[in-house]
Amino acid sequence: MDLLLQQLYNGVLIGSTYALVALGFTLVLGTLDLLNFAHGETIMFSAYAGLLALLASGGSLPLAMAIAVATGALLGTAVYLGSFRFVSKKYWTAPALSTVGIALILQTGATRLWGTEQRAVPDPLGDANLQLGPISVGLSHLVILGVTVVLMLGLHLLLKRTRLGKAMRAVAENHVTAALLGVPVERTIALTFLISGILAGAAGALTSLVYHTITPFIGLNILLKGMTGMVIGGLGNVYGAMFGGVLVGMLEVLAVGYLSSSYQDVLVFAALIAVLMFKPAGFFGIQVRDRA
Amino acid sequence: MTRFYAVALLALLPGVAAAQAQELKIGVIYTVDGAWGSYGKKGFQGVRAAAEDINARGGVNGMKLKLVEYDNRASPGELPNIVRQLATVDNVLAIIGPNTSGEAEIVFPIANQLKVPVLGTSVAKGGILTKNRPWAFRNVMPDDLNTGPVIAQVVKEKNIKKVAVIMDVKDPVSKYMGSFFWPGLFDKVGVQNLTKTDAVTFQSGDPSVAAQVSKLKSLNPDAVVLAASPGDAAKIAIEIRRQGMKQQLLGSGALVGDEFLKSGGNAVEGAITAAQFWRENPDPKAHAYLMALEKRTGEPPVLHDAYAYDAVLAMAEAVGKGGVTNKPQYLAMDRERIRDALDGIRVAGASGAWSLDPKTGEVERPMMKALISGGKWQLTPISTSSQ
Repeated sequence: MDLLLQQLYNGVLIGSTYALVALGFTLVLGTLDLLNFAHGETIMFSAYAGLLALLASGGSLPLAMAIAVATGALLGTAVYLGSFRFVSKKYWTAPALSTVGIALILQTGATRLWGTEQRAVPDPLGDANLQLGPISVGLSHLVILGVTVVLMLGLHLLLKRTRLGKAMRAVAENHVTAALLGVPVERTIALTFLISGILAGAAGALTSLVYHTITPFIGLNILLKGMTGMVIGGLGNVYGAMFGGVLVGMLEVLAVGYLSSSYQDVLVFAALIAVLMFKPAGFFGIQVRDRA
Repeated sequence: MTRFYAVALLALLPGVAAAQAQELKIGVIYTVDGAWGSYGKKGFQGVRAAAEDINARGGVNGMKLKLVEYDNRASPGELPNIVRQLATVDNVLAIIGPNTSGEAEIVFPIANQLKVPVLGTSVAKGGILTKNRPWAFRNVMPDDLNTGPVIAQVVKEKNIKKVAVIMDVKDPVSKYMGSFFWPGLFDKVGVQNLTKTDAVTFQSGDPSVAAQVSKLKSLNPDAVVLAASPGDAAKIAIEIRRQGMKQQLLGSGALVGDEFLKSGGNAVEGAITAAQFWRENPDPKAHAYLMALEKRTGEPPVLHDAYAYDAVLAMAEAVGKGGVTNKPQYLAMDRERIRDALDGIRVAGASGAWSLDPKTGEVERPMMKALISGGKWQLTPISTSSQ
């Protein structure tokens, strides 16, 4: 029982980072129907930027977070410019394919800049642990979970309580109608990419703390897990992304804990297939509509 | 005037061709990518340094060494073509490499089939030469011959009664170590292996190992054995300490080097492995080589550049001793001469004095216990009588 509780906690911790990944991914998908394949590499690149800041500052976590988030925002904007703003919308695959190109550039750039070896990410809060009954909780975990919850709440408030959130939801519903109603569509799309980048930056900093090490190759794995979480939760639904991300983390950890590491992807992707077969809109999904 | 230069150039061409023919071509296969990329990076540094040093001393029998290098980019699928290219197009006399035992299982049989001598410098899986003789050799001690005696002594000294092994099932060497070597060793020395029937596994590239470490913690072993690449082993060690486990960490010689030490930080303090490369070797010849290697690469030498350096020394020695003609028409015969010279060769190089067994192709060199203490590897030679 003690092991199960510890494993469930491990699942929530890893899942919360997947949820952040899924959130950033689903924002762009929900608004534009665009799969941003550069999202995983944006997270990886931001993680490296955060690590460099952490090392240069002698272990300042707030500075590392700020630099990672700024890098994510910058790259999110670059993805908007490089694969959406100036790419022909005549072919619906063109923007998505160009995000693949950006992903490859980021990964190759990272291998050239920082090499292919694993880089250790020192925990600025050290090995200090809180023992909550049978569960061992690291101090840095509290920061990770706290920041994740704050970001999720912030996104919820942004979408529900602000003009930008309303504009984003309007654009997600229908670009043309939103434009006719006076919504600045292009600016809203740019800001959506920016916010998605900010979430990617935060996810980069937090995942590197959870994983203890980073390599230039973590992006694809994170992206796949985030995408799976998003689909399980419901395409384009931010609450679904939160739920789906945490569920993926739980499934992964339980597979490792009670089966074998070889089954973790099997279990996660079997769950994905099951959801697509029996609940194709995901747990929080809505009826799919044709766009105008 | 133009005609003069053209005529002069034509007159010089045979000389250029002759000079090229005098180069002793040695193939090198490593990769700087992937989980074991640090081995290849150091391997390339080592072979280049040795070739430059030998050429600066006038080469071998008046002929310069030329390395024909290939990086297989951590892709095993590229290896068959690379070996064939080296053997039949580049026409090298011998091959040094590759990075890992998994890759050697591809390279060695092809080299053996094509009758090209091949010398591995960081391929430590037990039994790998058996099927690939007489053309395959290695100057790294296999884990079963090196790690076994050292760890057997350590578990006795530390009174370790029960252990848990965590292994990378995606990496062939780690999987071999975790599935066969470690269980066999612990059976032999009477230590209870808590993961014998319910293995704790991960896959290189897995971002988090928290779930695996929680499982290890629940078993409450006296020691945790890391069957993983240095980077992954460091990551596991960090998570082990983060979850409050204080157990002794054990590993094979594959962990010795800067990557495990630096990435692991405080978490790997006290870890014990076997070792066969001694950076602080007091032998004056080895010390001089290591100093020169450090000066050239700008980094303290590790096993992989020192063994790669010594592999080139061994090839040069074999070329000289074997009476290699280096004439294209005698390539097959030259390769045979190098093979015969490598059998039983004795080398005093950057990694100290070592020799190759003429029957098995395996290396013979001293064994050591490696302990991380004060952020440094501390090596102690062990006597073979304690095995």
